[in-house]
This record gives sequence, structure tokens and C-alpha cells, in this order.
Amino acid sequence: MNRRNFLKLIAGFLPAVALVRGQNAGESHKSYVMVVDVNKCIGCGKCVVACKVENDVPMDFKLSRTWIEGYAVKEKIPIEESDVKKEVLSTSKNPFLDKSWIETTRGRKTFYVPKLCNHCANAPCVNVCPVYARFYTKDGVVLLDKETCIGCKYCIVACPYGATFTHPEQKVTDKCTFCYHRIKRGLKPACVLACPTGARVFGDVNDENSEVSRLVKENRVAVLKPEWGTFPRVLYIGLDSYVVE
Amino acid sequence: MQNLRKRKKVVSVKKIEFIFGSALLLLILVGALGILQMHTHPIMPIEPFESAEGIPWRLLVALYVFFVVSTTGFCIIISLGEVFGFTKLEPILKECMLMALVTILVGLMTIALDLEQVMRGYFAIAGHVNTTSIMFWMIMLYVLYVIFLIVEIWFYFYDDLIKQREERGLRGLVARVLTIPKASETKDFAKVIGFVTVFTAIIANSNLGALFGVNYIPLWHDPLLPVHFVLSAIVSGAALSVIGVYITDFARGVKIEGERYEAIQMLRVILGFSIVVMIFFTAWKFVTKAYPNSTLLSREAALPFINGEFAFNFWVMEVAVGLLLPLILLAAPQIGRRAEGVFAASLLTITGIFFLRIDHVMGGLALKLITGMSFPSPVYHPFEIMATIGFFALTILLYYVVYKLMPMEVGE
Amino acid sequence: MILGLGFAVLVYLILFFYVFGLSPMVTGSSQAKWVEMELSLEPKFSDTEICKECHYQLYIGMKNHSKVSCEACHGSGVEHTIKRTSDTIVKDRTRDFCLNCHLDVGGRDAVKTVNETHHPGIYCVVCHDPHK
Repeated sequence: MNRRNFLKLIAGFLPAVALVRGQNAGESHKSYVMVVDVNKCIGCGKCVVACKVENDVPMDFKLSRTWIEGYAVKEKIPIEESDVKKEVLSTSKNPFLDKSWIETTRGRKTFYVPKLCNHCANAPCVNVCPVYARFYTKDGVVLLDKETCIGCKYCIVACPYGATFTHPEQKVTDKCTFCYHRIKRGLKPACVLACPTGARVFGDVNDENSEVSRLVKENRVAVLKPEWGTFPRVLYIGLDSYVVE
Repeated sequence: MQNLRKRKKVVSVKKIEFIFGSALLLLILVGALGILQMHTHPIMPIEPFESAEGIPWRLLVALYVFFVVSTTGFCIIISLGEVFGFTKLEPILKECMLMALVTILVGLMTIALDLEQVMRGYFAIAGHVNTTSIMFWMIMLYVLYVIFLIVEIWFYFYDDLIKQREERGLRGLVARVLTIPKASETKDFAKVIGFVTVFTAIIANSNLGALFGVNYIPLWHDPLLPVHFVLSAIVSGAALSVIGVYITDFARGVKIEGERYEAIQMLRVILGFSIVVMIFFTAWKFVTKAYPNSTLLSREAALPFINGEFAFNFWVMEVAVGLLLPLILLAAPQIGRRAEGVFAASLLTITGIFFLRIDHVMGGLALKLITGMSFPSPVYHPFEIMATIGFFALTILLYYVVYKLMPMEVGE
Repeated sequence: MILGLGFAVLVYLILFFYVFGLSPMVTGSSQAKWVEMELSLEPKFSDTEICKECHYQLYIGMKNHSKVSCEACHGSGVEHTIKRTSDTIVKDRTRDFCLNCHLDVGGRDAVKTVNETHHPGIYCVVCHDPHK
């Protein structure tokens, strides 16, 4: 086989690689983003319940695709670890209605931060999955192929936000998909629908007329753990980064 | 009269083998039961282990790291003896090769059974690959390593296998299957393959280090973590070689003297030297992480080890039992010059290395969990402990079987 | 010597060709299949626009809870739009259900909150109609 034929053989493989590396689903002119207003979140937990109903996660399982972290902070600068009390809501039982939480928040600055998968543009989970079960769609959503996942849990280790977990019944990993099956039908994600105060807003940030574009233009937005370089797509208004990691 | 005495001896040896074998099989069954329970009980219902569900990598992954780094260690010792001219190590090379093979096979089995979807484990090799994933490369490299190791063992044992062809029974059958009766100079080829094997082993082991090191997890993120892994491979390899050789000779009822004693003494030197380097690696790793100038995440990562949940694991098991005490035992002439002393030091070292793996995997993840559900202390679930016991028993049983079948130079 | 190294290089090359050549085709097709699967999932929540079609009077009468979607309190509505019976939708009138949002734990500036001591034990809906 001479050199030209050999190079043709190599070149034959390249389109196959390009086919996979170039994302092959979704509309490339869209860029989905969720804006969360921490000032509006009241820690009711309806988003957690709605997400579990919509996406077949067991209600009493202690992990969820989306969860709420409640912070009760003594207003002291510089702060120490004992001045910050955290509580997490990720099941149908709401710990923010317990006597112990009410006691804790007395006299402290309190706020609730809803968290979910950030669908990072440089997602650590996509980089480390050995079977390429996680992939980007052209509109920015990171999807998880449960038929391919072998459950090695490297993505759980790699995600800085703790957004991934092992599904107890399906025995693969699971994470928020921005309710891809809903947003492609023009509906809103389940958590956005269920939020009573409108703290979660979802939309296409490339569309100038959307609510998220307006919010991003008019507010200072923050992201979680920017130093990890993941370029997340969940933007927070009113996040207290002195306290929240 | 003499015949009667010999028969009694043979009978008692067979009885010991039978008891030993069935004890091992029982332990392996316990391990299998543990694995089965792990896979069928998604939410571990035993208090207080429910929170262990949130931690992704627990005891089995630490065990896998232990096995796989041990096999690299064996490979390094073999290559020191075979390729790099430490001729004093030659008498023990055969045992080390068999132990290397057994540990890598059991290690791969460990990680395959830790997957949530065991039946889909072959996806990582067959088609669904992600070339940016270090875990994928790790699997590929270890498969390559197994191939090269088997080829090396085959060629190293070839001449002796030919001599074994005439024997009756299973040993002869194995020898007849594995050879064609044309003896050739295979030991040189084995040397070249040995070099390739150790090359692959070191790449694969440092790849495993990088698998931990590329994550921004504060305890793990370190460009030198692959080097640390290769260093701990040398420590584990030397220690396990001593343990393996000593137990093999003990089981055969042979006292260690002559060439094999010299080999043990050479291993003592290697082990002592690598423990000294390891002490400094460990000390500076934690000083750098805990120093006030380093990032908050690093300090929080190092704190559980200094006076937190992992303090017992670290100070007692890893440092005192694993590094300092063996060094003292190896350095003291009265103890170090006896094979039993080196064996005792190696046992302590291996315990320390095992806890090093647990601390590394679980200590790094202790900060990772969702706030409010973090489980910072090391959790050993009973099913996992059962599985661990089963895997260790399997290693010993496999080594025993392979040892019996292969032509070891000295007779039974 | 050459034979040994040649054998090793051959094995490595086979590995690389396999990884970079054959696998992307399998991976790409499985991802496309999964996206199809995702898009075919049926939603369990509909939308306020759909609830409006039958319950328009109730909808336009709302003042305080007008920004809250119907399914936030009434649960998933797709089954109810098909069967249209009373037992396919959630109607929780208990005090604890209202206090889930309106109890004055800390940090709730976005809603009007009320204390536990405000008429304890009585259902809130006795005096407050949520649809007004």
C-alpha cells in the first residue's frame, strides 16, 4: 500500500470522528439558560416535588435532580464556618418547616438557593465519562444516555456542583436534563412551572425578546464556583458568594 | 516403618490443603454474597450506613486501586530483576510474575463488579469510547498490560514448561497445551517483552494517578499525583513480594536461605529506600495543603486528615503503622537481617498502603457531597467488607492454583 | 529484540486504530437514538394555558395567586385533562399545605407570611379563598 492510499485510509476515519464530536441534536441558534432569583425563592420545595414527579425519581429518595439549600448566616465579617448553618431540601419532606430550622434562622440572615445541573459549556462530566454517555446538544443542554451508562460514577466524582447522582431503581446515573422533552415542545421545565414566586426563569438567551435576556441585561448575575472554569448556564441573581460555594 | 511415616506426612499435607482450600472457598462465597447484596439493595437500609449511598467511590474502588497499583509494583520488581540487572532478585521472579497476573485479574474483576451496570461493563472497550476520558484510557492500558504480562509469563516459563510436558496429571496437561516441543531461547524475548510490560504498567499506573489528579478536588488535584502513585507502586510491590515469597516458602515448609534470602535482603533495601521517599512525599503533600497560604479548599481537604474524621486512619494506620514502624524494623539490624523481620515490616507496610488507598479515595470525596448530606467520615459498609474479604481470598486461591500448575524452579 | 518491540508496537497500533476509527460511529448513533428517546417522553405537567380552557372563570378571578401556575398546588395535570375526574387532580385543603409556602420561617420576603399562632388548628381555606 503506498503512501497515498494509506493517507486516504486515515482520512476515511476522520469524518466519523467529526460526526460524533460535532454535536448532532438540537438547534444551534439557541442557547438555553436558566436564571434563578435568590431573592424570590422561599424554600417551599414545590420545584423538587414537581421534578421528581415529571422525571421518575422516587419521592422519598434523599437525592434529587434539583434541590434547595437553605442558608442561615450570622452577620459577622470575617465569617467562620460555625456562623453558617445549611440545610438541604431534596425529598418531599421539607426541613425548612421544622422547629429546628425556625430556631436556627432566628436573628440570622436567611436565604434559599435552588441548585440543579448547570449544563456547563465545559462540563467535567462530559469530559470524564469513559463511554461517552454524556454529550452536548447544539442548544447547550447536556444530556445523559442512560442506555450507554455503565454506572462507573466518575461523573459524580467530577461534577463540582454535586448535580449528578445514582438513580436507585434504574442503576445508572441521573441528572437534570432541563426537561428536554418539555422544552422541545415549547413547554417550560417542570421546576420552572411549579415555582410559585417565579424565582426560576428559563429561556433562550440568544433571543432578545425572552425573559432571560431581559433579566441578564438588567441584573448583575453570578454563577456557582466560577474558578472551576465550567462556564455554567444557570445564572443567579442575588447570590451571596461570601457564603455560598 | 518409613513408608508408614511418609504416608502419614502426605496425608496430613493433603488434609491441610483441603482445609485451607475449603476455608478460602467459604470466604469467596461470603464475598460473592456481599457483591450480590450490594447490587440488589440500592438503598443500604442498615443504619447508620444509609448516607453511604451518596458517596460514589467507596471501599471497592479503594480495593481496586490497591490491587492495580500492587500489580504495577510487582511488574517493577520483575523488571528490576529481569531487565535492569538486579540479579539478586532472580530467584523470586517467578513468584512475582504469578502474583502480578493474579492481582491484575482480581483487580479488574473488582472494578467490574463495582459498576452499577455490570453487564454493560464491556461498553468501555467495545465501541462506546470517549477519548478525552482518562478512565477509558486506563481500561485500555490495563487490558494491554494484561496481554503483555501473559505473553511475558508464557515466554519466561516456556523452557520449564517444556520440561513439564512429561508429567502426568493436570500439570502435564497444562504444559502440553501451552508449548510446542521445540525449545528455543525464549528468555531473551521475555526480557524485551518484560521491558514493554513494565513500560505499559508504569504508563497505566500513572494514568490512574492522573484519573484522580485532573479533577479539581482539593485533595487530589496535583500534577505530581501520577508520580506519587508510581512511588507507592514500588512500595507495595516490594512489600507484597516479600510477603508472597515468605508465605510461599512457609507453605512449602522450606526455610528461606541462600539465594532467596539474598533476594529478600535486596527487597529489604528497595523497600526501605522507597519508604523513606514516601515519608517525605506524604509529609510535604499535607504540609503544602494545610499551610495557611494555600487555598481554602486545600486547607479544608487536609483538615480531616490532621485532626478530623480521618485522623485515626492517617496518623495511626498510614503513618505510624505503614511508614514509620516498618522503617524502624527494616533498619534495625537484628530484625532486618532475619527474613521474618522483613516479612513483619512488609505486613505493616501493606496495611498502611491499604489504608492509604482508602484515605485517598474516600478522603478526597468527603468534601464533594451535596452540602447538608456530606458524610465526611470513612464508611465501611458490611457488604463491602464482605466483598473485600472475598476478593482477598480469591487472590490467594488463584495464586495457589496457578502456583501448583506452573513449573516453579524448586520442587514441591 | 526487534521482534519483541515490533510485537508491542503492533498491539499499540491496533488499539489506536480501533479507538479512533471504529468507536465514534457506534457512539454517535447511540447518542442520536437517545435524543429521539428523550423527545418521545410524555410530559406529566401541562400548562396554565391548558387549565384555562376549562376553568376560565376561576382563572380570571385570581388576584393574589395569579402568578402561581395551577399545577404548583394542584399537582400534575395531564391525567386530569384526559380523564377530567375529580380524583385525578390534587386538592389539598389542609393547613400544612398552605403553611408550606406561607409559614414565617426566615428568608421569605417574596410572599406574605403568617405565624403558627394565627388561629392554630383551623384550615386556612375557611377564611381565605386561594382562587381570589
